[in-house]
Amino acid sequence: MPRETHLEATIGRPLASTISKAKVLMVGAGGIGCELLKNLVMSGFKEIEVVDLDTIDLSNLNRQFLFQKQHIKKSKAHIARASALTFNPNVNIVSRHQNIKDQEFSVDWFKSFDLVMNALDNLDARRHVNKMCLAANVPLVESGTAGYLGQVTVIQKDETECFDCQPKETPKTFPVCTIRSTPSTPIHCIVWAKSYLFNLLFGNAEDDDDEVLSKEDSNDDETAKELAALAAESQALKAILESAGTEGFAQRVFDKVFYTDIQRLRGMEDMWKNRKPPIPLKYDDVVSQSDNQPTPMDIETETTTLKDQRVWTLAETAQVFSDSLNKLTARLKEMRATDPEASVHFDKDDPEALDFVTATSNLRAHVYGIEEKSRFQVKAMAGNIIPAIATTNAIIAGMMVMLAFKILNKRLADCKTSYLVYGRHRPQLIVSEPLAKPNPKCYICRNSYIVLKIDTSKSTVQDLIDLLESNSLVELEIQENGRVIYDPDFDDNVAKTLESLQITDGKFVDIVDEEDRKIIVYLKHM
Amino acid sequence: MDAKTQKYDRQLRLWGNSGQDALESAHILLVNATAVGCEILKNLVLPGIGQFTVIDQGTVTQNDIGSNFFLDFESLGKPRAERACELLGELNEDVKGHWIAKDILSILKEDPAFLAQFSTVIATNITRETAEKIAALCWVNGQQGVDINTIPAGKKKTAFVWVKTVGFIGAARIAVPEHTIVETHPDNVADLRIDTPFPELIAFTKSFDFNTQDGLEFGHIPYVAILLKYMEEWKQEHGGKIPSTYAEKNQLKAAIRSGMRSADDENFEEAINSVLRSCQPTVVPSSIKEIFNDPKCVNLTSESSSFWILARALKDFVDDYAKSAGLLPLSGTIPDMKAQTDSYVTLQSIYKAKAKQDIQEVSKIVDSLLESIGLAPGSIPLQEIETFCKFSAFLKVIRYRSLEQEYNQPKIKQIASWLSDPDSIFPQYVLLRASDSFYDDHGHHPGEGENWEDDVDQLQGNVNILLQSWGLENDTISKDLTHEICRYGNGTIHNIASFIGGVVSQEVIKLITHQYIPMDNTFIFDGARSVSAVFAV
Repeated sequence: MPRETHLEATIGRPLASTISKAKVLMVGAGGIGCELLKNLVMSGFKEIEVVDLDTIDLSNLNRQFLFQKQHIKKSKAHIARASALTFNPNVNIVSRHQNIKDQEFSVDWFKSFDLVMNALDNLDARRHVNKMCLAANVPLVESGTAGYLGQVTVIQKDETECFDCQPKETPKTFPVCTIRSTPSTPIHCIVWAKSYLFNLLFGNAEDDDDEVLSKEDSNDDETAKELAALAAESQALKAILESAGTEGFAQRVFDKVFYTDIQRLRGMEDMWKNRKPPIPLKYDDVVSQSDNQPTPMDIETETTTLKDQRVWTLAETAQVFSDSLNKLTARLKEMRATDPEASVHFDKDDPEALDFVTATSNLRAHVYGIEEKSRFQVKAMAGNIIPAIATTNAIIAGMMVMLAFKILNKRLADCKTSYLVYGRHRPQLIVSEPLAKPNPKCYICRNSYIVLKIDTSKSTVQDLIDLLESNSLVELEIQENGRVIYDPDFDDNVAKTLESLQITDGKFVDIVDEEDRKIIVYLKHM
Repeated sequence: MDAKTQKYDRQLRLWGNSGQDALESAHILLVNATAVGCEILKNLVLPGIGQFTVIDQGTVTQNDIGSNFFLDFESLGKPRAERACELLGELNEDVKGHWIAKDILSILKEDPAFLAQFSTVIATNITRETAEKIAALCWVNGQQGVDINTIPAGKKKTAFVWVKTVGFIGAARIAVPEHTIVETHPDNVADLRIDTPFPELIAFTKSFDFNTQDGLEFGHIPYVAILLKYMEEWKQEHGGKIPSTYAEKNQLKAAIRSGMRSADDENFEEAINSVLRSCQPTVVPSSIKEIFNDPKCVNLTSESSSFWILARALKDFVDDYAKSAGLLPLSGTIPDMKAQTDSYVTLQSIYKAKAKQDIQEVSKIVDSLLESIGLAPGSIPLQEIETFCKFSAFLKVIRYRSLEQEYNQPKIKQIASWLSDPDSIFPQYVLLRASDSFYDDHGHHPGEGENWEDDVDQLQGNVNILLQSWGLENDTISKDLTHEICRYGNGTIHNIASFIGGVVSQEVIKLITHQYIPMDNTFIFDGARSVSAVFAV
């Protein structure tokens, strides 16, 4: 009996035949992706393309069952393909170890699929695929999980809500001064350790300020002065960096950030009128207390649970600080031997990076009299970790394929948005509701999408305006990713080429005309 | 951080070390290595259960390979139990797999206590007769012929889960006599007691100068202090009562608002936003009172589980008004709020100290209770008492109905009401039950014969017999569904198996870890209609 007999009997021959011819794009080969790929190859799909830029990490193996230990650090997309093919070799799977935002994944490329399925873990990529599917008019099955919770839905241009029809929560940002001078909670110290100090020590000179720091208005004289002082402080630290790798380097960094800088801050009396001032800390004072403390060797041999889940003593923290700083500095030196521009980025699953951030954030917390945290807790706060398990992904991926069947069967009206819920007072496990209609005010899907072929290296902004005006769009306002390129009161850019403004192939440009009509133009270089 | 912690990092954040320990000591039995059975095990092997055993007397067929991802071409003709055990075992080296290529009934005939070694028995694709037999043995812990009520409460019970998939339809049924949960993972355990403040909290509030001329200081008075100050003033003016009507609550909000100096005083906004919740009188929830009145709580014996000993200690604590003011132990958790670091830390330590004091009182009671039933004081660790106190307002006891009760004491009124809803998915339950009867009558599943349409009338007959037994009319269920079931011909499609596998394994993890509340007791899903529901049949 052929493989698909049962399937055909259940879903009917016409649908089985549609499925076998359908071309599906799967974005993401992680937790949901592994389940989804398995379900697709077991459900008669024959043409599947998988895109994922990520590589396999040990912490994936508790759920991403297409991967095994020997695959760590390899491409998720390629390994997922290879593993799935061993179970059903009669499927054509194309795998791409790339970012879905890459230029080559154009609107035309999206148009070549009958269906797109998102198995992503971040807002940015979801937003992008949403836009591309709207522009290409391809149905999109969207999904997400967090711990025991999950949801699936379908996005179809003009028929349903799009991903951006309802506002999404954006990550929280903190004022610079709170992070740099006046922290009051553990997260402030962690952000300082991870986004400021880590980047300064192990990053490139250019990527100084992380996006989590929001700039304050420097109208206020006090603030402006403080910002200038902070900049000088960073420069002084960079000077110490010159001595990286030499004896006493860790101590110099320690004394600089936990003593000298803190001393300077204490001098700003206004700042501490209503706050408890920080207490500077010297490396020697901390380490000299450590005679009766467990040495790092003891920490290493302690059970993992304890070591990870209890708050370290001050002496232990200082020791971890200096060990991790030296290891990371050595690693950076080795990397820069081949690539002078190399940098180490914070990764929550990199034990040395996590050690460093745990130690520095706790030392800072100590200085400011703020509660200290265990490494386990710091990891969650620094890495924005979302709990993830196999069961939830299996449920969500199963529902995604059910939706795919309905979409391919031209039964969009039967599709529903489903939520895997958890509540003390409700007996149900899954709640479903009909797909919502587009939000008439949605800036993303309630616009017209047009594809414009233009030579971006030669054409100027004025050329673009002329082209649009010839299509009776007048009194324009042009924006790219939130940046104003042109409006009737701002014509600085008109003579510049699109390319010189980084408006190149594959970029979206937002146009609003005098009647407040919104159009999203997708540029294709020719 | 060792490799194991790192591998399990993402799940430890959901159920912690205690949940992981419970998983690692679990031994799961899978009866029949069907597609859905293997999907369930996959989802349990990945997070690291201790051991699993697969029982299946069949050999791998083409049909199996079509729907079961874990049986490959090389497996053809080999014992299903062996191949499933091997391929599932590859998913996680920390898990030990066993297999037995025998029929479950013959194993049970030889050794009725066989099932007692497992924490959970998951059976797929079995007949009703086999299900009833396994369920009954699990219920009494493998001790045939023993009255359920004489089984000591503290003894480990084997949970039974029966899973079915037919075409687009799937179902799962949990049966375990009693399941108790301390860590139900409520959204919010913050417990501020603004309506019933303890002396230290009042002293804390009085330490703030509400007339201060310093804007920064004023803007950082913690909202708990603001709320308590205005609440106390309100109580003084209203004979000691807290606001109870909507209008009164709004008056309290207005009073707080009038104390604001500028619209920027976020701490006052926080206080106003918390008025409604704080005006809910702090009482012992009725669900917890029910637990206090449970015979197992009232009559402790040396066989009582720690849950019931702790529940009784909690009851005695609440009853001792001088110590508890008639309230549950304080959780000791406070939410984030706008405040200076030191005043926040002080407030936190006030709540923590009070919570600790309550824990000490409960702990004393626990020890004397242990002694009274002949157990060693201290045999329940302090950490367990702390967790119990912290979540004491959210404890949960589920007593599942047995399969025997489902069949012999049907909830007729409830069934009629489930069926009266035109959108209900309960007809699918009826059809699955009727399909079991059909199998008993004919020795094959509906639609499995040469011509599936021949079985429609017979199956509809089984449906009607069932409906009549509940005192319902014959045509309560449309014949369309009967047609559909016969058309499926007992076939399995992988995607449904995978989905049901996810649902079942998730509930099994909740059972094993004793964290989160598992469903009670039957999950039904119809993929053709994208509907699912849970019924306590």
